[in-house]
Amino acid sequence: MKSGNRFGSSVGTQTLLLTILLCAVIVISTGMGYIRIPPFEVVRIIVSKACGYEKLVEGIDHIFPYVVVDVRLPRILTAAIVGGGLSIAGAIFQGILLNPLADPYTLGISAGAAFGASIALLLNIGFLGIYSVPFFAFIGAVATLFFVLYLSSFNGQISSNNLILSGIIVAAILSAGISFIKYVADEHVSIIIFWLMGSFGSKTWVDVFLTLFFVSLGFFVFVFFARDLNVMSLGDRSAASLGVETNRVRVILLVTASLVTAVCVSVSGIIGFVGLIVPHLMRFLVGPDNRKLLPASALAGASLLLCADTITRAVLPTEIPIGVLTALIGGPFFCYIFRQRQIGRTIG
Amino acid sequence: MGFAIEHIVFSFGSNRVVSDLSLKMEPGRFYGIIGPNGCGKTTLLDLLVRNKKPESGTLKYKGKALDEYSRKNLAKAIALVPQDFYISMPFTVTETVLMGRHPYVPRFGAPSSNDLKIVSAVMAETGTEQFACRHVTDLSGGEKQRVVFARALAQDTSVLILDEATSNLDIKHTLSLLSITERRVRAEGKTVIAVMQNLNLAALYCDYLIFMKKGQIAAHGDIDDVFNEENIEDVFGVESKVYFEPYSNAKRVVLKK
Repeated sequence: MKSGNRFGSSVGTQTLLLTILLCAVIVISTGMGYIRIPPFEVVRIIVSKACGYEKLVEGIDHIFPYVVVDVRLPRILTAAIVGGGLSIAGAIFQGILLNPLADPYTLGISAGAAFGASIALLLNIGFLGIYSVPFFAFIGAVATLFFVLYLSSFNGQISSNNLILSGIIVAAILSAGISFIKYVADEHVSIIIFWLMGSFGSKTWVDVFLTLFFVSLGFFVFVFFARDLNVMSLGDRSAASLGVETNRVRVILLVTASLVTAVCVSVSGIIGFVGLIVPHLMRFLVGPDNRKLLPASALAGASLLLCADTITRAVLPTEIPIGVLTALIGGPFFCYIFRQRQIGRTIG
Repeated sequence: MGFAIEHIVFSFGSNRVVSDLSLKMEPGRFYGIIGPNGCGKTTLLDLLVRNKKPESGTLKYKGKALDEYSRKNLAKAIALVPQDFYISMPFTVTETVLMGRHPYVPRFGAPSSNDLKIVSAVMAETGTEQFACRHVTDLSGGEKQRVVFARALAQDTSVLILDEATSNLDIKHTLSLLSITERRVRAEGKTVIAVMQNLNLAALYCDYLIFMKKGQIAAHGDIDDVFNEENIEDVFGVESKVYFEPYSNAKRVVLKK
């Protein structure tokens, strides 16, 4: 009953390898930047802070713990969590919409978030301090989701085609709205454009815990319904006859995945491609079974987005927007993998 | 005790597709539903598996209203082989057939040795084991349909519903799969309810035929009583000749241009 020759012998091995990879990426990128800190000292600082064991940091430059804990880790962990969140949301959207081209933004979530953020930036709304823009982005994303769900449901049934179509229509309207806001924004226009392209600059521990909470909540909901989602790839009629409450599962997963996306977008701006390519790549490696795909996507997505963020933060001479970088690196890489796979399929 | 359908009605918007339909179906029989396109055959099957709910009328299985079953218990009693067999994710054939055991495996549990035994038996029986490790997305239409059929057999239910389940199969595999289901009717007392387009295949396998026309039953009864020129003309509006063919030991219909 082996399911073919797939990478790694079991879920355990794959998860372990990807976890080790993620930890290594976190430690190495924390050491990188204007002030270089050796990886071993990074580990000592993190362990000493986590356990409250002060002795471990003896002999380390006294500014290092501050740089690691207060400056770099919040940004690094937020990037990793957002990467994981966008990837699992992407895996869920692809599974629900039965469409491998779906991503967390397919239903217009990004356009909604962007519209909300643009309004906050245009009107210079600041009643929530630095959280005003994320809050408006979140509201925009959630409102868009419910409007799309409303548009695409008939007689209590929601079909994938209706969802995709409604998402595209709503996104198109919102994009026009954003263009209009940019047009009337005058001196604010650069702020809006920069926010839309995404950034992890100046993230705090509040951002870390906020995203961690929502992304892990989403992860548990996704894993709970992972097997139902597998069965739903047989189509609605088959899935229902196999005992899956298709409509209920679909709505729960859509709303949860959209909330995860909305939280990610509101802290980081719009970061494309991660949610599309990571689930794809992981499906090549671990297969389409969502019980394996979700943990693999979460860990790989976290590593990938963190690497990208570290490149813009510590490797490039000037920081470029992370959303631009993920598309510039991710796009061609995806083309290459996709091409290889097509060739492999026709020969094999 | 099988299905008891009483006065069910179903519409798509203002278009009535099933109107005031009543029927009883007993276990241990092979039922065939035949009728022209758009006469409500697939809708009737959808009502039987509770994919759709009737606007009025009652639908009972084993004396209990279909609504009172949980989805999972219904899935342990009734399996469906749908018309369309599109599978969107590259699962292997074995993984897909194993999905037939979905209602029996606890949410976070692994399939039991019994589940695996049933799956490998079904795959051997249907000849799908020869492509066990291939991805379903890479199979031909006919091969996919055999996998979907095997998946429903793995569900091991007392009722098996076939919605034109052999439409893409060559004649050899059609006979083989229908014979597999027929054996389950004869030996294990299961019920098969099959929507069929090929009248001669229906005559070959079914014990009991239900002729449908415009959302209603035009005629129903044992195959010997209802499989005749009058009913075929009434339902399909074509002239034909029906006779007993000793070679196949079944009735046969022939048509002319």
